[in-house]
Amino acid sequence: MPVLSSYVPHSKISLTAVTVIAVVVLLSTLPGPTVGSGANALSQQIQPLDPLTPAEMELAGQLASADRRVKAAIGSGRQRLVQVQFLALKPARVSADPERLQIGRHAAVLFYRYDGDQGIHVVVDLEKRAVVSVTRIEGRAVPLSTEEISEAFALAARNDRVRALLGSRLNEFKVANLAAGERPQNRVEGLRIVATFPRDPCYRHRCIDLLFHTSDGYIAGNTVTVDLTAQTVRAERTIR
Amino acid sequence: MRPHRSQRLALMLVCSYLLLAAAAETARAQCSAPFLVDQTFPTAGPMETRWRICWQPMAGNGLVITAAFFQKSPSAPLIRVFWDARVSEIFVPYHSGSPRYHDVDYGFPLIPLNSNDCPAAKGGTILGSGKEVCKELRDRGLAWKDDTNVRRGEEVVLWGALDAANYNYVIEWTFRDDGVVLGRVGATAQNLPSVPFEAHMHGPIWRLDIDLNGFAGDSVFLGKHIEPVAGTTATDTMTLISTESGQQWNPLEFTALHIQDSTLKNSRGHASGYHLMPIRTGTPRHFEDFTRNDFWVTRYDPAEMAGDSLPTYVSTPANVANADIVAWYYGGLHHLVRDEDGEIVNGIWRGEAHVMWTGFMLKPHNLFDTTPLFPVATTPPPPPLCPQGQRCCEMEGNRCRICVPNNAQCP
Repeated sequence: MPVLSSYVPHSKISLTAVTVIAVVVLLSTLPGPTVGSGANALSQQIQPLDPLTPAEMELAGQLASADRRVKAAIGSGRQRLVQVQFLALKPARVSADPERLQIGRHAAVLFYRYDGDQGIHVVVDLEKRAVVSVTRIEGRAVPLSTEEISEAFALAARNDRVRALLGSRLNEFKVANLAAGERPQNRVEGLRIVATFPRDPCYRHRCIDLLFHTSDGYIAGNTVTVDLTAQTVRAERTIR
Repeated sequence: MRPHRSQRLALMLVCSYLLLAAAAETARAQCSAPFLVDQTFPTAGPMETRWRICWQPMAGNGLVITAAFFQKSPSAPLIRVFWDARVSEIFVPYHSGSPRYHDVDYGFPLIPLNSNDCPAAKGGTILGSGKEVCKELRDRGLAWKDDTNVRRGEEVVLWGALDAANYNYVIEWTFRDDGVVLGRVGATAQNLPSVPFEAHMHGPIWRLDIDLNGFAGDSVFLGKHIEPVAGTTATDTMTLISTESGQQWNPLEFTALHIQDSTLKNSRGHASGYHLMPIRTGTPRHFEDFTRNDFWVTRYDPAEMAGDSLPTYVSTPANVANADIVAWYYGGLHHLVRDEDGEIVNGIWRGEAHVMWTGFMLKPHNLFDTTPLFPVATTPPPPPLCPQGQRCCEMEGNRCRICVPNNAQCP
């Protein structure tokens, strides 16, 4: 009988050996991780294509705002961080198995600068905590933010025609943060205008049409256009 | 009998493996529930085809597909179709020339849904932490029919509704059991309060980052059908789009984009691809230069997301042959205002514009090796209850207990 068997029963040897071999083989068949190797605590619980968490969005905004190239691009004039959005950036290295791509966690941060009607598109690598690219884009490609609607309504609320339109209900109107699920009965909503002709006062300006929703529905027959760049308000009756 | 220590160890290791394998399977999907939709077809019975989809709600774009893979048979690999697919812009010009809205440019969110939107009884499941997306499993009617042989098809549909102030835009993505993808936008809710009786257009622009079998190596061809009415013959042509550009749809030519990958072939050696085919009622054209084409092809650039900036993107045309391409499609809804939309009552708009749709189809071409969802599984007819010439008088379970001749009375 082999010496080894004097220490360990035969059945136990084979079970242990088979178990170890099986586990090694099984582990070798497991697919590799898809979150980038530099994954930090932010991305350990989430998959590469899951939406950004609030913490990731905040981090992306902070990293972009602090970046030297971004600061240079947005300048010292009036500007605004408008949006932080999930971005699935394609990895430089392509895996043969499309499901095993090493996709990192990225965010696209959009800034708008009012002088020159320009947008700044910033790609942030959340795992490396670094800005990947800074690209100047057309101003019209930068969406409006809820804060801009608030600013537009604050301007409009000082306009005599708007005050007459809303009357005593003026102070009851609130800018709805639709993204937060807010839908107050008396709410202000906005629609983006991109002017086509140079003679239009809104040409290459940030302009918003304001809509006023009451508990009965939308107030009809009036247009209120706010030019955030020029800080002006145009209110007109459209149906007589 | 208590298990031996080594047996317990083995059991623990096997359990650990199963847990790891489950986690790894999730990782392979690259997104987690509820943003992962893994749907096999048919929904009952052995799998024939499968879609694996990742989605996200995104401000402005609404419901965005962040990955989509199709498996054409149980033994075939998953093939990537989309890296990203989204509604990039919805342009809304009014007939008088003003206003001219860019409805994706405000960052509108998706509206929370309820069981009236997405009834479970109709195959619906509400997804998302904000309950903003409805997943529906639908019978899509006939897949094919041949005399008495027939196969009905199925599809999984994801939709959400963008809260664009007075308007709602229903953004819908349909993934069919035969590999077809449908993208649609439906416009509904209330006419613009300032000019509720003015006709206008809703023009969605889809950005379709199609990556067949990987990022690189894709080419786009402009497919045309040419049939001069002076003769009786017709030809179909495919012309390579070599540089970034816009292309126009011609209803007389059945214009379509043919997207192929240089390495993706079926078992018959034919290049596999997808055809981008409009589903439309007209062609919207406006002063704005981004409305002058129905199709655009650009090279992938993560900073190029805005459909209304397409003329800028192609102004210095890059090569798009055998490259990482993005296809764009521009459709239009002509909203001719009607009394059915509503009316002004005491200065307030009252009424709802019913949904109008526009969209496109992405249809597989030589992706399968032969007809999908075929042959039909035939169920043998049940054996007769009684011998020929007899009828059943009394059943016992699912068999006849008393058979009598057709012309005899039952006992």
